Amino acid sequence: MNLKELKELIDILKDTDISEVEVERSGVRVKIKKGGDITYHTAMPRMEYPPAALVAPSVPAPVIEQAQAAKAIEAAKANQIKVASPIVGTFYRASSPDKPAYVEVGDVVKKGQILCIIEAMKLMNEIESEAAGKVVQVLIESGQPVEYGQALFLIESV
Amino acid sequence: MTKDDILRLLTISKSAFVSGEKLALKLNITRAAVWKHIKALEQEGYEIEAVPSKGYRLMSIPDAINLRDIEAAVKTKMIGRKVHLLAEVESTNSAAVEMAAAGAPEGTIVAAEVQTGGKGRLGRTWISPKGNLYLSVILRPKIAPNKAPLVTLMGAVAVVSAIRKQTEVHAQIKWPNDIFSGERKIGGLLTEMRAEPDQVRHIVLGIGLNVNMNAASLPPAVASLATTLSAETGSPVNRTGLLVEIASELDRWYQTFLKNDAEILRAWEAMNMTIGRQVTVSSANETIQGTAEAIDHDGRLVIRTIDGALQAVAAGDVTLVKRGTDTETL
Repeated sequence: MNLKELKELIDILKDTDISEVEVERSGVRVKIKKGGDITYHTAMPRMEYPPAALVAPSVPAPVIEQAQAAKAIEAAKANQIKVASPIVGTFYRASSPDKPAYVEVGDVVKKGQILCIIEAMKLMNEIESEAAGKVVQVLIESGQPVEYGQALFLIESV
Repeated sequence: MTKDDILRLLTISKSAFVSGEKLALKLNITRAAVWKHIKALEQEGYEIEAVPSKGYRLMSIPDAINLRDIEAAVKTKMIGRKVHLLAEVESTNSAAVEMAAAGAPEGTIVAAEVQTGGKGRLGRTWISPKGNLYLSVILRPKIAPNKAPLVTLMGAVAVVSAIRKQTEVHAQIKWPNDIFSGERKIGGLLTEMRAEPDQVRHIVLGIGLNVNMNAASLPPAVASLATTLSAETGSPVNRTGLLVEIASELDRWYQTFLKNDAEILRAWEAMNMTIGRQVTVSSANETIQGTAEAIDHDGRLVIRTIDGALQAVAAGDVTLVKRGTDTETL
């Protein structure tokens, strides 16, 4: 279950008279209630999904985000963008363990500059910065699993 | 080309000698020119016996990947319509990534006889001497990036199909895309991708296969873990034929992937040697032990750990645990 699918669920709720929906996929159950509570929990405790954090629903539509993404949004200012993972995989800050990280906090990066690698099934996905700016936060530790849509970096325009 | 004509005439006559005079007459060149072309062929690795008063005969052809033969044999829709064959390159993947960024068409193959900096996962080296296959394929599937990891499973399925068709070796896949014969590794895939947030720009599928290299020359650290196709079959493998077969199988499986990726998962399962076995997966930060139960629809390996929980992993070094206490990193 990724962010896009969650948003789609929310959109379905918004445009109909349905007030509550519950979906289960790959051990993750999501229940969304219009105007009310949101629950998001894993049925199997050791799946590698990060613990979900909940953001209070804004009016009128509820907003739901995963932990890191939510943190990023809370922290993000108007001149900051978050770089999100386009795939499920493992996050690496360097091309190999004995190489320096692609970027450090405080570095100024160009648009298209490589920020990190996400690996899935030996597919190495070099993630480029979507904008020029300064790296203000690295949101994940190298070697950690990341979910689709999970925020990896905060970049501030300079 | 006169040199090719000489090669053709020598090939036709098989073990019989062809006189220099006859060659010169047929091709309308001098005998000295014939001699020059023979020397050039020897430079390319052809073994030619020259006996005064008898002439020339072909003893053996070089174990070289032959670009003309590839171009003549490739009957694919897309993969291998354009092949760049290099004598030596740092890494076919790096060369293909550059070509892809410069706009090379989908299906382009970059192959090399030798890699001076062959790449493995996370900066590791892929030992790349002469006699093997090193090739990278440029793909531009119109898919979302989160579907791209399945391309690497597709690559493993295609390579295993090609090996089984071209040789007697019963190749199998170790998750996610290592190619094995028995309990020893014969090859692997390393894939590099560039993508927009919602669309793949290009994928470079890198394939390294141990074919005819001398298995005894493998470094001691990997000698007990790796093997070659020729060591498994007991005779040299035609690398040109194998490369053409890989292109053909990739062409077929790639089309299958674009139509219905669930078929790739099924084919992968039928060729894999990981599911059902005790495994240890080590990554940068943790080690997971348990039984490999399945792959999920993203291609992740689902492991049932000792406490009964299920965990899906997308990356890491997988060790298959043998029965008893004997474990070996493969």
